Amino acid sequence: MYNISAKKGRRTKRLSRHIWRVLIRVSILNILILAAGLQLLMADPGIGQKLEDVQITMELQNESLVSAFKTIEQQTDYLFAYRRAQVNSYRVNMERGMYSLEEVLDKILAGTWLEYQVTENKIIVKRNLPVVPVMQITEWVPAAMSGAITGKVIDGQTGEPLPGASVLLQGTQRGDAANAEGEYTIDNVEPGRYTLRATFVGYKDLEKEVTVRDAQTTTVNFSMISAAGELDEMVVVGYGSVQKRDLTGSVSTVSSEEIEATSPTTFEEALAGRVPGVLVRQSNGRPGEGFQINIRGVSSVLGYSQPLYVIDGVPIDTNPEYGAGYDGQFTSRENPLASIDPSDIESIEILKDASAAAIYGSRAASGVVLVTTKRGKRGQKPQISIGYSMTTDRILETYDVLNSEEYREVMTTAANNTNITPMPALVDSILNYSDMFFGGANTNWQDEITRTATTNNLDVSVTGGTDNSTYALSADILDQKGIIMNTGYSRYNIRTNLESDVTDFMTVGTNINYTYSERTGNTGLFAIYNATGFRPDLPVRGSDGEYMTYGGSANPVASLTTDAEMMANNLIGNIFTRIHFIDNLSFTSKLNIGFLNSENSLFRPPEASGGGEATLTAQDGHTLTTTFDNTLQFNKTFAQDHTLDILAGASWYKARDRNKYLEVRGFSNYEFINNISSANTIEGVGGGDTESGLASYFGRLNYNYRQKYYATFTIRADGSSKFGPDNKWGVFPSGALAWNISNEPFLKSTDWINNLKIRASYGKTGLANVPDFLYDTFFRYGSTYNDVNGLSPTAMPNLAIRWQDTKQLDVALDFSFFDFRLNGSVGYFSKNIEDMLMNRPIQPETGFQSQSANVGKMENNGIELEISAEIVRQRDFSLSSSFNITKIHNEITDLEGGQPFASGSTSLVQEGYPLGTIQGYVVEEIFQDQAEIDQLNNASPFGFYQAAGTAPGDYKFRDLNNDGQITSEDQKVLGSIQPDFYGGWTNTLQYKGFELSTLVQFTHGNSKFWEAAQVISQERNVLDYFVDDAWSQDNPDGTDPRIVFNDPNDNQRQSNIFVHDASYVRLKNVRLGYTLPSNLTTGLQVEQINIYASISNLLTITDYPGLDPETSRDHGSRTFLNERDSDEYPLSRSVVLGINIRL
Amino acid sequence: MKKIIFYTLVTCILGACDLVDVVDIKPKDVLTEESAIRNQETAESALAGIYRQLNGNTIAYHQTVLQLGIEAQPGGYTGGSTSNYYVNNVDPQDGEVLSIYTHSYDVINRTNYLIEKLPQLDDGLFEGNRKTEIMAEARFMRGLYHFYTLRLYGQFWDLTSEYGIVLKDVPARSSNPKPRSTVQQSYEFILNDIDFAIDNLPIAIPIGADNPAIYANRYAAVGMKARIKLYMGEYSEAATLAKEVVDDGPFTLENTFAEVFENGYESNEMLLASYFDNDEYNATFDTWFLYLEVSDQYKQIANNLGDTRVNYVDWTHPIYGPGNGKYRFVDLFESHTNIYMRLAEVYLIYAEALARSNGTLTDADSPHFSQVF
Repeated sequence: MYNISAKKGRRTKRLSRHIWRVLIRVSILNILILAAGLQLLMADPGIGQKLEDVQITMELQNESLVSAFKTIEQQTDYLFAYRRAQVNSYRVNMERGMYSLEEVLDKILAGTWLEYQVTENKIIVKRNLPVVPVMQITEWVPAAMSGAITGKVIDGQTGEPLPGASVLLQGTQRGDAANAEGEYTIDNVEPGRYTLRATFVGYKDLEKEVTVRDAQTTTVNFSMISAAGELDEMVVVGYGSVQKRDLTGSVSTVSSEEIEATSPTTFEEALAGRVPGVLVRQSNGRPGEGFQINIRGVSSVLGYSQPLYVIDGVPIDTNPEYGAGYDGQFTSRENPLASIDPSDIESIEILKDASAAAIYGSRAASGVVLVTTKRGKRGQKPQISIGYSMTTDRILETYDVLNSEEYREVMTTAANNTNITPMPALVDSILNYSDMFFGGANTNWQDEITRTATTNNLDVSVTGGTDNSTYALSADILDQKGIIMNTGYSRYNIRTNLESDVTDFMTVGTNINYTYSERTGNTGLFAIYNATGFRPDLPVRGSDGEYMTYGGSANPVASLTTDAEMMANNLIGNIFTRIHFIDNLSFTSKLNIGFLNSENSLFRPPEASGGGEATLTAQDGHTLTTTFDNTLQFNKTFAQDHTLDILAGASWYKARDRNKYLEVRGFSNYEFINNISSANTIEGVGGGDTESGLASYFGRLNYNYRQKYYATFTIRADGSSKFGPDNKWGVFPSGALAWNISNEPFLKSTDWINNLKIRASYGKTGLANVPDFLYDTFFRYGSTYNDVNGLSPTAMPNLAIRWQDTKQLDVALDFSFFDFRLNGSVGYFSKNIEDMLMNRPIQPETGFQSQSANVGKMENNGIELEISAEIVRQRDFSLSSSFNITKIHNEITDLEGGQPFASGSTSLVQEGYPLGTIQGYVVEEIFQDQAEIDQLNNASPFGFYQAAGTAPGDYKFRDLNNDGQITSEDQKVLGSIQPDFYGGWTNTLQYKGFELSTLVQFTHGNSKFWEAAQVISQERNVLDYFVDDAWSQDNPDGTDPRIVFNDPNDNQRQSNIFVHDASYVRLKNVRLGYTLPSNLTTGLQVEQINIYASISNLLTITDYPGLDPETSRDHGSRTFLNERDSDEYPLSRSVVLGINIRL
Repeated sequence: MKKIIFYTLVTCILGACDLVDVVDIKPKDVLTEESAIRNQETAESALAGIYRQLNGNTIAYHQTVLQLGIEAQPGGYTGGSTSNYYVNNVDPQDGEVLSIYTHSYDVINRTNYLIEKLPQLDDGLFEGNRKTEIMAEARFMRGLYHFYTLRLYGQFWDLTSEYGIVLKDVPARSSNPKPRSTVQQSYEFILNDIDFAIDNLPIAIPIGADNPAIYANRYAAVGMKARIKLYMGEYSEAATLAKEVVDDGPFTLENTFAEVFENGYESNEMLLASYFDNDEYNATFDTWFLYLEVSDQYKQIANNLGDTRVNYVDWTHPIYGPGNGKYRFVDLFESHTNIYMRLAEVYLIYAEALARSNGTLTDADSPHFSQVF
């Protein structure tokens, strides 16, 4: 009954001899089992009726083929014969109705690799493999025969024909466009198995498999779904995926198209402004780094608020906390996320609420970002893509600082106004030796250190698949230059994703990503800050050709001559196997490896070292993580109405971090050689080694009743090596309920409502990113005295240290209206964080000021709104717009005596205020006369009101507590680093081959301390901003303080003069793309050519006076310190020109 | 075959492979209480860990800041908080006040681990009298840091006051609070340690470069006891002890004020000064903190008194600008000794003790003594 010989012949080509032998054995086994089964099935021979005459009632909702077959068996006399392994993977849907058996079979088997054959009352369902000529069986495939394909292309929602839709026979140049009735015909097709692809603007591409038989016309109808109706899309969730319509949690997806739209060099950039509840900030513009992502606010005071990244199943901690045994010297592991080529990414899923994230339990408090890379598809012919882009970057803005002439003038004024006896050396030099003091140059240091930089990026990929395997291979070369001299980033990346069925029941596969990257220019971070302050009257190089220095500091250009290289070798990959043991039950085992190696070397020539001698620091850091994931998955629909999807799993994670470093100094011939062995002295050596582990057991149950009522329960138990014996284990449960109102009968007939769903979830997640082994007393070496390496205790242990808990509530409404042209979601979330990991002051008589402890409570709550509309949906013209906004409130509700630093607290972390609250003095006015100052001074218990040296022209600070003097008590809240709301707005306009897209990003309500702003104190140059309207006797209305050295009034103290609102609206990206008409590309033997140009940071609207409202010091850890803006590596305006070719 | 695969995986999951052994990880690169101190070599390491704090950037630096007070020009490299000392308006929440206090107890805690552990170790593990000497060095350091703490945080001048300090004689294993002892009790505790040190420390003969006084030694303990007695108001005892150091000790005054600092811990004046070495790992930051510009006010006072030593102190580095000339440095990586006691101070103790005890100043008026001024 089974034509196994034909199968055998067809398969041989792709299977190795060995596997083939295994296969025969397995197949025989299967056939024996099947034969036994069929004996029973054939008990009742039936009547020979034509399939099209048999009418049955069917309704299938995401059910397995097996249950579809059973439904048919119940209503007819037909019996099915099939191999479970072949049919298991398919799930089918059919609207309730009366159908002929033929229709049902055609429909449920459409798009599968299965075909059926009827003999008497038996329907045999079997795998139908594409015809691949094989030497031994060539005689079985008669030549010169042909068939035809015909069919109709309709709108899946309305049933209207779609004239102009094109249907292509993949792998050939043949196809047809649908006529006015939506019909198409492709004649003279060689018999065989093909993939048909229907495309139409505004609709999602649709592919169907078709078998063309000799002299037969096969009908293939396409029911196309509007591109906006994405409910059928699969969304990746933790350890699995679900259809978007079945989601109960809060998960946002960023697609590969959206990633491409911003032409990013690292993928984090692509998330900016696109996802509600997710704040993405570029903290600096240095190539290869610089994005901070907060999902629904900050989740910890100590700022480990970056999400967990899971790249194809490999979890990556971006900010690991090391233990006592680890040497604090190693700080600069390269950003492992930069090792992923954004063009390799298929989708990024962001798990935001407790229900979605709790499957990652103790690591999910800050949300989870799942990155899935591109794979091939079964039966897809090889597709080669080549992308190339060239980017030109320019600095967005530079500061106006004093030029040489102004500098001389201002310095002289300052010297004259400084009345100190004896006369300070600086004043003496300026007043009495001005010709020696002032140089004759007029150097714009910002111009000297910045440049127009170009970046080249080339990526090539091949994807494809056979009937039982898929593959995706890609390579990427990026060479990025930074806008600050000597800075850059280059990356070489290769990726392989393979998957293959080795037997009927077992699939194996691998994803491997290897990256080598090289970053140069470590010193770029404070380059602008240094350049604005360096004396403009000095030249870059003196008359002797040597770099000019002043006061022992290298000039900004010389500082950049350091030879800094940071190399990373990152291997991120896994191997997995998926086994279908029995019907509806599959088992997946996955071994993930992350091998992250960083190697840094920083050479400073004497002119840049600050110490008069050349120095070299070399560091090596190695992180090896292994994650062994095992999951069992079971899904079944019971009694047609109850669908159950169960996941159970166990995962073991282990991370080992090692480092070593070496500092040397003194190179006699450094211009030519600066390796370690040519140094004179070893300055320091060190190293560390630490290990931590996490064992996890988890489960998830998804249930739905007729796709109307949904419930999801998740639980995860995590055991961590970081905690003491009594606190190792933490349990993190969550639950979610959803009601899809649009699937209720009373709304089914309402045409304009396509989807309406209410969902709510509540659950607990945790955080354990703390140093290892805080629960015990340990000693370590390192306190060296007279060449004896001394011992000291490491910290005050805390036996009770345990998990940080986050409890999160989510309520949301999802909707799609008007034929999916208006989609959106509105939701409320509340995140309560308890037992925060912080420092708690302890009795200082212990010798330690504090210990790590679980103290403090914080909450984030807010509202997210996302709305997208397809304003115009026409064949050649479409316009869509998508807007999202998140209103968020963060508050430290109770510190419980905790403090962020081991050594103490900071006004940035205060009970009752948002994390990162900026406090400072308030400037009331500028003092006009000495009498007022004298009066205030006399009234003060300390003899002076605010400073001993206060004089007319200085700021008068407000005495907020009215005690007659200015003390630290007179500071008030000036702002917070936390925005009140933020979001993004994207627009896409498509006209024929052109596509124009824009991305706007905004935040509102956050403030920053503007560090570049400095009043005059010494010879450091200042911005025009602070002197162009300086107070003087002649300019009593001046708004800037008087010009004087040493800042006797401490005008520089943190006040409202330096703290500014950093709200902004930024046109982050504009992109224009053009896809060449297909008649042109067909002639070139190319499937598609797309050329594009994009510009980033084109326009920014802000009141913030610094260079950039977006940048900050935030490096992911201790977010609250992000209040300072020291113009670390400013952002650039990038102009990208690129081309993508698909062969 | 399914079975084979199944059992392989099950075996692995149930713990047969190392991949799943992740929860009970042993700490790497650290020692436990049991393994830290177990023989002479490790006891010497624990001792080095105590001495290391003589070079720590806390007590020496902060003492300097506190003592100099008026010496440091506000707005210099040490930043705003030193201005608080300059204007004598120190915030109770001042981090340095807490930091100095904690630092002392850190040293005390280190000594207590060693003092507790030593008696449990077999004598045979130590050469000669080394075990007792190590104990004496540790107890000297414990007494010394208690004394510093009393000086800064207790009413040391009033023996009847109840505001002494918290006395710690066992390692801190929990943060349970302990009350202050009285001043009298504090002095008794300190003297108990110092007396043990005097009885058991080697009478090393530290003379300059050959054998610098970088460890606790008998004369340092005697000198320190003289200082303690002076603060206690027991002047005749202070004078006796100071005289013992002057008469019996191997120390000699340098010829010029500058040489004291130029020779650093190798100076013949030193009773106790910290070892430093620019190549010694982690010992590179002290000078950073001593990068203090001498204040205008201080210079004025010195000039008014006609004290020419200020000309040595008020110094400008050719590259880095103004600094305190006592701590001269070539580059920012250069370190400097911290002087805990030198002969000049012993003379001063002697003189002050005699003066306060109504003795005659002639005893102190030796050629050496006048050289101090």
